[in-house]
Amino acid sequence: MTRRAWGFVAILCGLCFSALPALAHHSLNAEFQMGKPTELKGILTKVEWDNPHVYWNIETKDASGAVTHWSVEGLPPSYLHRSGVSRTDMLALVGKEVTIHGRLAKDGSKLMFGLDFVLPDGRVIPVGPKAGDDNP
Amino acid sequence: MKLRYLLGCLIAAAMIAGGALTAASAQADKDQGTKKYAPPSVSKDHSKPAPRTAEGHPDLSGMWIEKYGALGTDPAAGKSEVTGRRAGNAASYPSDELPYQPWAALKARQLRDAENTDPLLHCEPYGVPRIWGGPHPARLVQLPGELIVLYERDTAFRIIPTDGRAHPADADPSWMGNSVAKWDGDTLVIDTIDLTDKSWLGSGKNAGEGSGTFHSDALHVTEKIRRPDFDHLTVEITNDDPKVFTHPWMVTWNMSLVPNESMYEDVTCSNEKDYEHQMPDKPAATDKSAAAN
Repeated sequence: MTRRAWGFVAILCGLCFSALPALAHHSLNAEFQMGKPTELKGILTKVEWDNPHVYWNIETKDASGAVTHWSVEGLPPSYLHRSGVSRTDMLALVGKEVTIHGRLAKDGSKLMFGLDFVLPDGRVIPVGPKAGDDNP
Repeated sequence: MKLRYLLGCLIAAAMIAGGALTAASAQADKDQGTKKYAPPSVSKDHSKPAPRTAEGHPDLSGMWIEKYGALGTDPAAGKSEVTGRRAGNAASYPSDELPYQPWAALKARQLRDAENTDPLLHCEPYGVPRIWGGPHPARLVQLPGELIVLYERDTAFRIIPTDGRAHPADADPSWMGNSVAKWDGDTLVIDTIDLTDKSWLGSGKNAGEGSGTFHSDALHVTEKIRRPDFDHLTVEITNDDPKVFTHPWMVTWNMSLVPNESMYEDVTCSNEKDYEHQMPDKPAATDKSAAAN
């Protein structure tokens, strides 16, 4: 690939990340490392289907078996409902292993903003705003 | 012989029913696997005329939404961190889109850069005019002499007299302010004053959530509501605040009728946890060139 083409790809990637939007009522950039895609794999232990944002509790285990408890933040219940993601759908996943793509909190706490869930059977459930939507 | 025939029929029926159930179950699994996570579509038909009330005014009643918030998947899944890019959109100040006076533009930048300054993070209301727009529907109920607006956002409401009365002389400052309205042809013009200076505005595109978009107690909001056709409503908002802006500015929300939509509870702080994690980027907010407009 030519240098120019690489430059074009870099610009596209930059646009891709900068296109991630503001939250419903506050800035994602103020809270999460938006330029750092992160994957979290663990057991969903709890769903907090509440305003202003839905939270999922995830339990991960490292190679030594040490358990870490994570909190994953999502959009408000109304957004999820209107796109077909219901509380019942989410409660059905409690106790199951999920992979979540998202962005970690800047302050180093065990907090992530979730963009999508990948289930063991490969199904993907979007839970974050659409890229490029600056007012989700 | 008859008994054997009957038994055979029963077994065959059971097999057919079982097969159908298995097929139905497989279909359900398939449906689940191919479920499309998308909001409902809205009408693009502009041909049907708006209904009118007995008084002859357009009837603004209905459930309206500016936009549906579509869900998306992670565009960067499986990729690594982007290097060479500043974290966040630090260089971008949505408040710069607004015609702030120089001192006010600087203050708006500083408010954005400071941590946890957005009133919403303190469990305070959106207020007028920030309450409008976005993915939360508003239900308008037009009655003789008044308009009731029920907002999903913030689970809030307004009752606005449309009988030509004037503002009271002694209204307390409030998040929704004091509103009175009158008809100008087919346009309902709502005049709102007595707004608390504790609320923030959205930016021109309402992308300025949490962006320091403050205003003063002199804010005067004019909302012009029209229903140009059956399925569409426009809310044209003019913000006039001579204490902080150089001139009035306007934003228009184009809303669509969504008669089958439900309203969900949207209380601001039932489970608010973001407050403690907000760590905005801190660019050079002392740049006095902030007030470009």
